[in-house]
Amino acid sequence: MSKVTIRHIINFIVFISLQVLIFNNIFFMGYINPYVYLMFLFLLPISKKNQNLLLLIAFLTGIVMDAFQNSMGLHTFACVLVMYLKSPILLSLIPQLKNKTQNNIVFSINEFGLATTIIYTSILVFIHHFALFFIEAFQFDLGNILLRTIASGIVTSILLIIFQFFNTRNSLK
Amino acid sequence: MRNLIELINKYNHQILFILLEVFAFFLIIQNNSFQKAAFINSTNGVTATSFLAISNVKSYFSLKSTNELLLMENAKLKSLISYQQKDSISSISASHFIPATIINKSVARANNYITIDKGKIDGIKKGMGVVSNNGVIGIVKETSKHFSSVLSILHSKSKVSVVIKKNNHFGSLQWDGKSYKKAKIYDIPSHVDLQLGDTIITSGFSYIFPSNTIVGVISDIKTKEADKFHNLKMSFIEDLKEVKYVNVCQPLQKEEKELLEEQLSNE
Repeated sequence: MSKVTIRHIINFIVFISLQVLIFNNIFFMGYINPYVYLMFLFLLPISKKNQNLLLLIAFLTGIVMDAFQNSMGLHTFACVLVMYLKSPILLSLIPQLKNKTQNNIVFSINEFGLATTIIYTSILVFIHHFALFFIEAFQFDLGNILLRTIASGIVTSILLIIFQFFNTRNSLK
Repeated sequence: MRNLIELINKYNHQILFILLEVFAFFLIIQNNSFQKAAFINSTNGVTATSFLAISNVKSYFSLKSTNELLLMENAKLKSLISYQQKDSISSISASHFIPATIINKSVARANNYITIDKGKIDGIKKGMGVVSNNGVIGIVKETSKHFSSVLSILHSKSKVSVVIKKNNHFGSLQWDGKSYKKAKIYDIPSHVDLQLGDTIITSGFSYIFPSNTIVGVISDIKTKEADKFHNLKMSFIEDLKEVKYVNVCQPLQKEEKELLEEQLSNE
């Protein structure tokens, strides 16, 4: 196994444990339940060659989260959706990437700047949360879903942006 | 045919995406319709064992408050014993209880589940009611050898038959998906005289929960004059976010009834 693969496996274990051990026990104000395991999906590269493998990894991540949350299919649906939309969103934010011939694009805050990071992170987080809460609660009223999505989405986005700062520091070493 | 293969080759990413999403959606729908096929849930080995480990660590942090709770419970039990000695006819409840500890729970989602550390081996079966000292917790949905997963009362499909203690009018309790502290009560006719703070108890009609278990108090009455039924909100007495120790009810009458029927058929 290559060094990169091992690093991603460690990321997977770390972020899933963080989610299950700590963040699933946080219900701030009764609404806010940040989903930081998304960071694992963010750290995966965007690659045209391995795009099907990446979708399957997202699928697996979702299944594992669902097993811990007793919410069969919910996280799976949201994770696969996020993974699918990751590359079109990044390409539309930074069109010059299309011309580059490199196979793997790894998102880093150094290369793309703070503003892009914030927009990119929050768009994907809100897509994920909206899919999650909407399917989970389609029998309840829309205002409630919006409130949950916005509250949890803001907290998750902030946490993920902070994590991305740490990630840059690691890759500089 | 060749065109088809070319098409699949060209759009394989999109096709895989749609297949995975359809599969996920299929899982969601199947899980919702209460069919048993939910083989990946929190009663299986890996997840339940890790929940147990987490719960063991967490319980150290709450030792003090747990002690206080136990003391209070002791006092309550003592008073019940003395009450029973005075009046031997009144039975406190006709259920046998299996004590259990909650090892995982959620309150913030629209459909909440609880995992407890007792399973088939301890005599827990699907459909048994779960109560705590201060109220109703949920109904057992799945059991494995050592663990059970419980459909919390904070679930869109949970419905409990309840009674207003002071005048015995019955209605049904259902969670509205908003706050874990409150739920709605339906089917109580609007002519019934109610006040804020009236106690609500279980009816015991279904043999799932023992009758006369306290559930909560009325916290909000928003009934208009034209309404046929009261528009009621109640707040739970039990703090569903903090509850840790529960009892699973094994209804005695149900067994008695089955025994009686068996005798009849033997004759």
